[in-house]
Amino acid sequence: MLRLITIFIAAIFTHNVALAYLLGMCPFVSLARNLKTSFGMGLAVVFVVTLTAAINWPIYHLVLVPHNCEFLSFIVFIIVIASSVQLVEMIMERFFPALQASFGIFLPLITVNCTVLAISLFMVLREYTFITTLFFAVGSAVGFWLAIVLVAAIYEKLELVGNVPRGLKGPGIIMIITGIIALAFMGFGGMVSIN
Amino acid sequence: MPLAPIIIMNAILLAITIILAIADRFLVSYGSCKVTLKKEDEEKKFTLKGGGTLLSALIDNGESIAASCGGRGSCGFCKVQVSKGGGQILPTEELFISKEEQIFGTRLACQVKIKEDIDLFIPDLLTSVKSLVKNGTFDTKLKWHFLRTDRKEQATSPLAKLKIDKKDRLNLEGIIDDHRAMEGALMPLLHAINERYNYLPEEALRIVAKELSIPLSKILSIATFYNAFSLEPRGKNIISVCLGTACHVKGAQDILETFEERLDIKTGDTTKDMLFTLEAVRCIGCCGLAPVITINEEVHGLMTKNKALKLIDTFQGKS
Repeated sequence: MLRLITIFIAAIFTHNVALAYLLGMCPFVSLARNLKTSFGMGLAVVFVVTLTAAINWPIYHLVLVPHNCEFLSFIVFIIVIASSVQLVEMIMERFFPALQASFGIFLPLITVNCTVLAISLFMVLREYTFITTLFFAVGSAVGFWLAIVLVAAIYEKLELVGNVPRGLKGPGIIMIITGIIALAFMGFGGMVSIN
Repeated sequence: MPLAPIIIMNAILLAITIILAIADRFLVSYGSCKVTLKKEDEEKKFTLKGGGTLLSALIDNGESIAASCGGRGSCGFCKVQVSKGGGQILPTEELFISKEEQIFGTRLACQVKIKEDIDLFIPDLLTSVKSLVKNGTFDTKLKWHFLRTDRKEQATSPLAKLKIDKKDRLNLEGIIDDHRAMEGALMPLLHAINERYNYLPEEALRIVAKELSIPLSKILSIATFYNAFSLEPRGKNIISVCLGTACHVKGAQDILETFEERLDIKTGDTTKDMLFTLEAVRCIGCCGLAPVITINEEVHGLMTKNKALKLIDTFQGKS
């Protein structure tokens, strides 16, 4: 149990997907300009990452490993991610239209977010059990959520001050903010380790 | 050659396909839905299976709707007014549909999914143009504006001219940007807006509040405190009649009444042609000239009834 909590905390702070591994930067840079949209995006990431990790683990360990087909994992993971996002969208559209409206366009966007694939690959690489995988997936996704919301909040405040140099507006200043926050997160470094 | 990977890969693909197909069958179909279509002169009803888009349903039933992008939501031509059913407006549509149109339930037909009974109205510009051509009243050399009949009155009243349109909005954002980096930017900003519109439009204040992250209540507390600002639209020329002690003794009340009669308004109001606003003020600070009035900061002293009437005439002649 202690190990699970350690992994959860480590995934959020010391091994943050966005700030330590710089994964999922494309939606990160383009969406971290607005607090509301980045909040929605982060929430959708938590949802999809947890779901796909929970589906990919049994497929890998119960289907691919017994038949020595581990090399198929990349393509299988991608297909599973894409189709499960589709399925979830259908279910939400039918039964939870309000939730669908708030997630809006982010859900299909996440299909191509490399954070999602990375979590599935890390779980294989680090030989996690199913429960550990779940904790790791939720932790990582919450880490991504935290990072994107932090950067978006700082960006919005900077906008108000309004003296960002013209050439740095948009992606430039977001990368700089991300770098500074990543430095701050390095301070958590000695706290917990993921292994 | 090992067969296992091929079989497994295909098995996984097959399983996913079957799951998606089943989900599609049970989740995406919505039973039969009734679509009630109203146009300027006719009404149509048809029943169809739900799940598709409104655009394809309309085209299947023989309606001609402009959709040059083929229903991908990129051209913005397939606007219809949905009065019942159809759900919330999607982020993909917000690019094409203004706030004003949203009030009328305007949607892009290609983005509306039929899930329940839908009532809609197609504003028929094309037929009105066709009838104009037929009657020979259409002149290609003229510029034509089509107004909705229920909004015609609003569009021709002088107040509508004060509405903030897109160009004004850019202008306003320019004003805000000029003042953004300043300490205590609010007062000069309000002055700038006042100069531009002659009053502080509510919409402008809302934009300012949002852009500067200042609560609207704080802006209103400033806007209502100072005499220089007004929340009501004001005329082009502002007539302030001094009712200070000295002027009062010299008969300023009569002057004020003369203005009221001549302009047919009460003190504090604006004439219908938006030319004059009449105000009563306390001392202007030149009691030697009593009774005194100012028109647009310009001081006119030693007023008489005749002089007042003449002043109005000169200002009316000017514009």
